[in-house]
Amino acid sequence: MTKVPVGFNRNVFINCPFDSLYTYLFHAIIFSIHDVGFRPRCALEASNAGQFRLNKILDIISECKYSIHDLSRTELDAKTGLPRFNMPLELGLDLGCKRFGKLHQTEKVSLILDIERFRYQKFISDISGQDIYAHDNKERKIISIVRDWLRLELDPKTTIIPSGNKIFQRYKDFQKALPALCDNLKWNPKDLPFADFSYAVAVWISENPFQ
Amino acid sequence: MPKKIVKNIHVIPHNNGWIVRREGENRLISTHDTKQEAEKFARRIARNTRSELVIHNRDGRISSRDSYSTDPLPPREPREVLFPVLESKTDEQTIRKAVKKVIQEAQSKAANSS
Repeated sequence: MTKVPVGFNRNVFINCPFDSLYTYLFHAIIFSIHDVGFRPRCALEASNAGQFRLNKILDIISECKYSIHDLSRTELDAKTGLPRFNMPLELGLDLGCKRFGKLHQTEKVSLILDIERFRYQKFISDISGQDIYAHDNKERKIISIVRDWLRLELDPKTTIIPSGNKIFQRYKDFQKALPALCDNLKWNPKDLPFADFSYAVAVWISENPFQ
Repeated sequence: MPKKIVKNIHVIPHNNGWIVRREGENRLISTHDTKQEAEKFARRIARNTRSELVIHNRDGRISSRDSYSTDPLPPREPREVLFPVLESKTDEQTIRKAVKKVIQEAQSKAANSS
């Protein structure tokens, strides 16, 4: 009998821009995923391995039951004048995995984010019918959306998780601690490696149980 | 004697029908044309195995849960914090020590100011 890969039911694939203008939302998503009890994964893992990037992304997608796709930065790039296709491409790969993948992969669920709720209808209307939410470029809102979306997957009879507001407050506390942490570890706060940041978040959360 | 782990029974949409399968197993127990049939069948298994029945929507999200466990009031516990599977560039013990140190410093600073 084939087993579902270990961690599949708790892995969340984040498909979002990795530029400096989006970092504050990316970090908020990572924190929220950890604080609800899930594990964030993303394409930045690919840069740490000597593997063909697309293959690595496909591997990560196949190992995650959940995925968060932020399409809020698909506009034309100011320098090149070209649209950014990576996010829609990875969304398509994820939906394809759900449709054509193994039995457990047909249970994959996706959350799609944008700046405005119905803007997607103007540029990627085929995705209507999916869970699409607007974050208004706000950390508080993106944290609540991610928390509420993942919350449905946990049994409320046995699992306690913090509220969206509580996670936001905890995230603010973590942000206050981050400069000292970067000093201690000699990290560049403007260029934090994904795995290191994710690990630091997980340690901070486990050392700061919510009340 | 170690307690036997009871696996939840899931009713899941699959292609144009519905399937019943045990959690964590990549093999289906049965396939059904309608959700109602699948739910009825799955409920019988959950009742017999004293497990939990988890019913999904057409979009894959969990819509309801029914427990047939012998434990009517299972303890509610905070979620488990999961760590990355990817190796970090900085040694994990070093990160752990630094985070603890920063937390302790913040706590003693708060204690001194109050």
